[in-house]
Amino acid sequence: MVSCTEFIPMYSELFKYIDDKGGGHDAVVRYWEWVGEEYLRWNLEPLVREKGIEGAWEYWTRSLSEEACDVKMVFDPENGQMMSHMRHCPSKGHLLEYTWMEPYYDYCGHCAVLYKKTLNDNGISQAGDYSGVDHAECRSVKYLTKNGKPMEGWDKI
Amino acid sequence: MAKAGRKISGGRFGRKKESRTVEKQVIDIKAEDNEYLHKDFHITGDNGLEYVGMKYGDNGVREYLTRFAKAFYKPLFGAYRKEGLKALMEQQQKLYEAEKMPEVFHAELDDDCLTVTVDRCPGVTFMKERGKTPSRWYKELTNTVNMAIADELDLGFSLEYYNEEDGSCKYRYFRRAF
Repeated sequence: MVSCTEFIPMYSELFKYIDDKGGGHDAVVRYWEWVGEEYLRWNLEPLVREKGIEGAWEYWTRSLSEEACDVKMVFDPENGQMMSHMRHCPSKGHLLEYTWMEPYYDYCGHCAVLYKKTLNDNGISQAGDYSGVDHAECRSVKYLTKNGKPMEGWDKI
Repeated sequence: MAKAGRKISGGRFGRKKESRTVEKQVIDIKAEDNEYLHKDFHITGDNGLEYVGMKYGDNGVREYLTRFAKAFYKPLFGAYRKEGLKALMEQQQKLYEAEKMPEVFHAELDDDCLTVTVDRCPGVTFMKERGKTPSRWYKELTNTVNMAIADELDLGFSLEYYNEEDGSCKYRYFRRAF
């Protein structure tokens, strides 16, 4: 068995494997799209289908706690928006600690792709600032698609 | 959790239809506030095996997991060269402790052989609780991964049995006799 605590390096090696098999990064993106539907139907999809953006808040507060993230999250239900500042992502953080391994060069790219369809299908859009991923930091926002764009200041929390 | 709420009421044209509290919520989590244990990763891990299996076949799954094992377990290989099979036993034991199921792991160790018996797999247990049937390649996390570790250490490996219903299994690492 591989423990769930060892999943991250296995995930990174999966991206490298798919990339190396000939399809390159495009093939990896196709995998992220596929797994987004397969995996999220067990957790995020039923929550956002039933509760909308509140379901997204419920999903991420649980999963980011279980992943022992160093993160600040703000949920503004009145304006249909949730924002997060991941000060230290444990997934990327672990990969950086495994100095004997080379992480997949676009490991963090999965976050923007994985959740997109499930969120969009349920009236939620997302945006992110991934300029800090080399030191395991990022910011993201989920907002109601009908609002057109996120409210200003989402990247300042 | 800090909450800053305000009550809103009334419909679009001012007629009172409902009264509910819409609260702004702020959560500030430090890494040390929680233990790192996200069992959903068992599902994502199995999804990866399923994808590779469907796209690249059984050999693709073995190739992927062998590459993973040989890359990730390098510190274990170093520990084995210093401490022998004991290092391998302790590494395996820690997996089940991390999963909060140490009671399912049993090991017998002598100079030439490590025999492991697992009453039920934490990954299979979790997936079944969620209503998910593990893919037919899930077993390779036990078979191929341990075989790759053994191969790197010039040990023999034998999977004596694996029950796909609950992931219970028995396997042996042993020194090869030439």
